[in-house]
Amino acid sequence: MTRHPPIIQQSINEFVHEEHITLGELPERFLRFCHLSIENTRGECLYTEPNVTDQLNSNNYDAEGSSLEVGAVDDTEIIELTPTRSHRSVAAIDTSTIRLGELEDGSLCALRGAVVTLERSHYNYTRYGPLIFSLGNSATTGQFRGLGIVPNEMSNVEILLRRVRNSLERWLQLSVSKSLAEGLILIDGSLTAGTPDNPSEDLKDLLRIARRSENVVIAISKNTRLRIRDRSITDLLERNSGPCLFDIDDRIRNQFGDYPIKFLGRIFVGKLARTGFPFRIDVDDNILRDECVDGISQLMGTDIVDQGYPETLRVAHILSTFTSSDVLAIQSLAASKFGVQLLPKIALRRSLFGPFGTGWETRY
Amino acid sequence: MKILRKEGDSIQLLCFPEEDVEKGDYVLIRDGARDRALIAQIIDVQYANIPGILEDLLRDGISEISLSGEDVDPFRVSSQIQVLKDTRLLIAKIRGALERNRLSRDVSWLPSRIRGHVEVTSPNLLTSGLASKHPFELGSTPRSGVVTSDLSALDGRLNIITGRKGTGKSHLSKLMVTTLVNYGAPVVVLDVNGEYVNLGRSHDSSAPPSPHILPLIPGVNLRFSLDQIGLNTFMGILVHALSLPDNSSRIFARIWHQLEQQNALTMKALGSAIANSDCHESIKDALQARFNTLDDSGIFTNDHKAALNLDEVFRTRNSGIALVVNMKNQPAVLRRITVELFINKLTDLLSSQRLKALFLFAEEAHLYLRETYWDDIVTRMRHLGMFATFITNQPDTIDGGIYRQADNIFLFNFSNEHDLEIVSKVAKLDGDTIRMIVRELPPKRCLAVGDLVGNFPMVINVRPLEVQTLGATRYFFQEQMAVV
Repeated sequence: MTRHPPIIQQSINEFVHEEHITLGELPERFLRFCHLSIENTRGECLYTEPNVTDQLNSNNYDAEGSSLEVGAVDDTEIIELTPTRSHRSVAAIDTSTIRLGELEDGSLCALRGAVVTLERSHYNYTRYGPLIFSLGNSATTGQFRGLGIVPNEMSNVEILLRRVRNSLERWLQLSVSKSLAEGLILIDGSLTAGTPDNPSEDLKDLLRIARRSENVVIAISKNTRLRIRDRSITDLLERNSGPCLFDIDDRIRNQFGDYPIKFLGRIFVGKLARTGFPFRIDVDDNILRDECVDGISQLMGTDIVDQGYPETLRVAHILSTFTSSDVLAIQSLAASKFGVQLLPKIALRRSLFGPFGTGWETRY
Repeated sequence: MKILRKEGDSIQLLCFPEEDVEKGDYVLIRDGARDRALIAQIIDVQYANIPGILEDLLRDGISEISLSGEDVDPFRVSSQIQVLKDTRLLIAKIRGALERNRLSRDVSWLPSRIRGHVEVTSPNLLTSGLASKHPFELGSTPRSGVVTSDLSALDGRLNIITGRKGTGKSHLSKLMVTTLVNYGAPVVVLDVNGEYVNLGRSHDSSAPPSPHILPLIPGVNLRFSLDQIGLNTFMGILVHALSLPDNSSRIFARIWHQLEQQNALTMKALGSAIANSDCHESIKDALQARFNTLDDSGIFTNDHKAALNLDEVFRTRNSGIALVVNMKNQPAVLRRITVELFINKLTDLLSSQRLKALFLFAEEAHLYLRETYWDDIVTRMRHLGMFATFITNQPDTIDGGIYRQADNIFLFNFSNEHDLEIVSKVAKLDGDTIRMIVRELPPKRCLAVGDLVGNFPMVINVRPLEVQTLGATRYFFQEQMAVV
């Protein structure tokens, strides 16, 4: 894995900290970035695709893709979980992005984030966006610094989009960490950091700020890339029927000792409901193991964990995703407000292969 | 509005929330720079099937039920999403075209989907081609204050007014009757509920009753002498209205001829002749029973002055008259006798050219009109100059063939599938339009089809009448009904 200049990490860190954080308001610099980048697209053609709702909404910080050697699971290592009633608030954060189409020089994109809180049995949400911006346009490169992103020559739209999303997501996580006390903060993904998209300093700060207010950060990953040979680590609990945890933290750290990526959370495989699915669960590793288990037990006793997945996080995911009608609305807004001209993208596969193609283009 | 697709004579349009359109409206689909437009009528308004709408609604549903919260939406995209969610799909039928501002039936071309412009148009554009010699203010539409047609579109035509009870059928027929009379036309109304008798009176009865409306009550001022009606008509009543067998009718004809030769044709003499006849007892009983029925009806008189002279009535009141035959509370057999007599007399007047033409309005005709008369009225009598309008709330009582031959049809609300199926046999309009529009018509609003509306089907709020109409459905809980 290549090492990235520390300046990138530093910039994002500056962005999220310099901005005055108030939940319910978007950072001014973010809005400025959107407006300035959009202004540069005025009069351009936007080539749209019918399958535009392929989204980037999973936060795969666990960039590690290697196969692990975990060995056999001893039943004595399995921690049985019992839901514990608690007055702790639960907050979940999720974001998603979408590419609305290709511009002559770059892409038009949208970003949306959601924070869902559970306090005294009542769910409440704040949804941010959609924020509309263009990426890849050379004229907008200078605007990235405002978000704490330093694009290099290798940065394509995909990478930039992920970084913009991470900026917002980290800002939301920090906002929640600062405003919540003694709560359980749920993050979609893992607590692995150290990539250019996800600088470890940011995550460390987030965890430190959360701890300061006695919050526990729990990251739940739907799609972990940690594998034992060819099987997902979540398969480790397939024989266990009740709610339980399996602590695989030491085994993983032993195998990733020299990696530039940092595991800032204690890694478990956990099943939070009897009939639920198992997930990779990371909990801030600066708190004691027992407190991690207590935090997860309290989550089970406070939030609904139907199918083993917390309701707050599920709702945050639902609220942040883009539906096809969202995309249509944003495209028409872009046409009417920003003067872009909507054109369907040429169906290359259809032109070449007709009905014998395999991609979406042959179906439309 | 934007054109989505066209299939056959159906065209689908996308309609955005700020555009105000409802069922029955007409739209012009202009073909870009070319001076022509398709004329289409909206027959259904649906939600547009926007991709992802299910997910959106489910998400909204979750939010509404168990969540509270706020949206920080600096670009105001949510308002755009609301627009999309409320976008409607209009199903329209192509009815004609406009070429260089002239109505045309050539719809073999397709307007440009990109350059085409869709706009709601006033129905007056469609009726403008009708002659305006005898203007007839039929009512109004949401797009136009007044829909004016030409009364000549009822002349020589067969018309049907049908719809559920209490939807305004009689109201429309009364409007047509009074308008025809105002233009000097002779009109006969076969009124089973006695609801046309006050058409000559103003709302507050302040003005004297109009001499142009003449209520007739069988046995009171609607009476005929035997020599006025003749053997054929009398025999027709015995055979068709009172089911007299053939053998008995031959005996009766013999008795009639004998009295006629003796110049003694009176009801009393007819009764005595039947009683003293030397025919078989069973035939005598049959004749006696029917004679008693006719005699008891009071519709026959020996007094020539008391008898109604239709010839004279139409001759003296040639500035327009409506004869309202009030058959309210009459037994079924008397209704049949009255109608048989009346139509025979009218046919007589028309075939001898003593009456040029007349308009017949028949309410619930199945109650008094024998089956063989239906075809007679729509074919032979039409050629003689009797132009019928049938009014019914039971569409299946009118033969399907009559629906196919009707020149004007006024459909009020029907919700029953069976009724809708029957009325959808109308030749001048497709079944889809009838099913989509008629099912949701409110009271006093009808779908008019045919010559009267230039063969452009039109949803019309029927004009109020300025006379006493009676006949409105009577309710026990009148106040509550008014509120509902």
